[in-house]
Amino acid sequence: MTVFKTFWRVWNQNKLTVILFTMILLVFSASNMGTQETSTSFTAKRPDILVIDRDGSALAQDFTRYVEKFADQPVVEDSENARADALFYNDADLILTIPQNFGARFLAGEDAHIEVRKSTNYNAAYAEMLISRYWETAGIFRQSDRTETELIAAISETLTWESSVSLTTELDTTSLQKGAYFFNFASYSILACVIYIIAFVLSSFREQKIQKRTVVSSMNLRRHNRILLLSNLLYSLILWLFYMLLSLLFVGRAMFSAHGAFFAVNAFVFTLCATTIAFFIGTLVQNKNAIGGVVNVVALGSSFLCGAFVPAEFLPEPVLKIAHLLPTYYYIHSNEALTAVEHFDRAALTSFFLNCGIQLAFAVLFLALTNFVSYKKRKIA
Amino acid sequence: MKNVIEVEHLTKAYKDLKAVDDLSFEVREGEILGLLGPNGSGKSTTINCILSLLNFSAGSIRIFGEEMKPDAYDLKARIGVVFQEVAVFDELTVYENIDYFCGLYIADKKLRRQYVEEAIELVKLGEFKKFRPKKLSGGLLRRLNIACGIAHKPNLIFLDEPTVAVDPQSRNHILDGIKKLRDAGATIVYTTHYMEEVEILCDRVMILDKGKILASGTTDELKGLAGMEEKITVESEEPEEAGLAAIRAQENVIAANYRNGVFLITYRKGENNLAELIEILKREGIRYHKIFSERPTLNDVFLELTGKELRD
Repeated sequence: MTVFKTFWRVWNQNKLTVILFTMILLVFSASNMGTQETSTSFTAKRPDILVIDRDGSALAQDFTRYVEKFADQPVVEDSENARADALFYNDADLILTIPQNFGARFLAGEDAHIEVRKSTNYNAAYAEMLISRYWETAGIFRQSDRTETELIAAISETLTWESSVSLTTELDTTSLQKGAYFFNFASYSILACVIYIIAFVLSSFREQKIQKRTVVSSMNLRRHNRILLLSNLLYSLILWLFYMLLSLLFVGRAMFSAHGAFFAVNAFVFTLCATTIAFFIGTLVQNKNAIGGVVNVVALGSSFLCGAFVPAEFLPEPVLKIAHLLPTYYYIHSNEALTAVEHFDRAALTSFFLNCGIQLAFAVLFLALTNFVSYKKRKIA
Repeated sequence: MKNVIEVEHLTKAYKDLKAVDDLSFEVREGEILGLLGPNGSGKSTTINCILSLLNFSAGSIRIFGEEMKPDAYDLKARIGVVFQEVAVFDELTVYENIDYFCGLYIADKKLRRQYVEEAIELVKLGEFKKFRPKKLSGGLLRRLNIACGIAHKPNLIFLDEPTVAVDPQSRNHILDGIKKLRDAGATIVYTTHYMEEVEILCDRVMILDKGKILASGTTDELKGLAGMEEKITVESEEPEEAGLAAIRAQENVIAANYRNGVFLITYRKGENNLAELIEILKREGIRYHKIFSERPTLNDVFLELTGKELRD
């Protein structure tokens, strides 16, 4: 009990570190909440198109009506300068001028063109695509010797066919995106909190002079180390639980879904792995002043390399190759994959548990390294 | 009187170097045994072997009649150790530190609380209970170090140079505390290279050098080995050759040397030497500023046995 109590007394002296790294997580997660879009339906965008009809034919009028259906008509003065300004300031995405006799020439199969002036934005390209759709349809029906009225009727009938777009997924993508962001960023906070505290406490207990006192005491050294190990594990468990509670703030009800459970399991496995990394660092680094630096290098470095702050798809290939050598990569990879999993089928589960398995393999590796370093140190002492 | 520690033919070698060379001795119940020797003489190595902190090459060690082994936890429960280095947690207060180290021996909470309070009282740290080590002076830290080692009330205590770099006030507190422990019935092994402490505290002294026992016995017995009984120091002007000859001709004189304004005269027997010397100085017209007589010290014994000073 005395070892357990002392563990928490030493922890108490370093609790500010835990608060600091948790605050960083909270601030970044809160700021991310404001930037997440919440769209759940699809609505087509309406471009601004100005049509100047100098022809007045039935075909030109029908085209104008067609444009009005999918575009807004900006109010622009009837002058060349005003039209140029409207395009420059994006008040109009497209300005179409139908020349005189356009309808007659088109029906006669002559080379008839509408003058098109466009702005440089995306809406202009979209509008141009819709306009081509009208004239391509008109071109097809013109070849079958229809009258103007028949041609207009045929075009109208064809263009009234609409594709309705509906989102078929039942995923709460917004919450899952928030979840992935929170848990990805949490990799940094978990690593920093676990490594800093455990390495600090271990370096206190394993300071050679303290260790010497422990060895000469009547407490069995194995029992002493076992209690210390359990205290460390308990701390990691409490930290994980605390972060799960925090995740409720940012992810909400989605944490009670299957996705939430998988996020939690993934975070648990990662915390376990972080604990073994902390054991290794705590055994390797005895200088308490150096622990802060090591934590920054390990936690910040691996979080950057593995895409906790910047999404992995934006990271260069060589960086991602290095990231494969770190457990954080597999943790983040699982989080990202969870946002796209609709049903937890065999493929999704295999991928998830494979990533968990790799993290656990890293944990075993770090435990083996810790034992090796401890053995070497004992031999030297 | 029972033997608490029995060491026989203890040898600890590092390749060709023998740090402890065929050491045999015993420590009797209730005594304070002083281990005296210069740095590197094998004092700490001997203690580390006794405590099973080091494997030894040959020999045997028995404590309270039982063989000492790394897993002899029942024996360890009766032993307290105060190492030379201050070994405490920087993150814990004075009280918490003593409580932790006491807790490694005593599981009972109530008893432990009582023991911790008594240890704090013994080393006079009552007003610093809530202080963390970084706020304590060197002397107070040493006292905390001692309290951590003896709080569980051991029967056998090893004190490895507990007064190194300590102010006089703390030193007195520490020495008083050690006497109290002895009075309470503890057997103490005390290593130091401060002769004065050994003379004040120890019932028996063992002088070590190069891993071997050079001599052992009470301080008086050891001083008998010095080959002199009195040493007189005279601060004076340099005497004439005739004056020097007169001093050297004095009965019982072993040696008389003058160096840097100080005359040092050693005598075989220690009676009336000072009075006779003062008469000679007057007669020969040698003017002096100070004159004093002293009994031989353990350093003189060490010098006699090894040809070098204890603190070399």
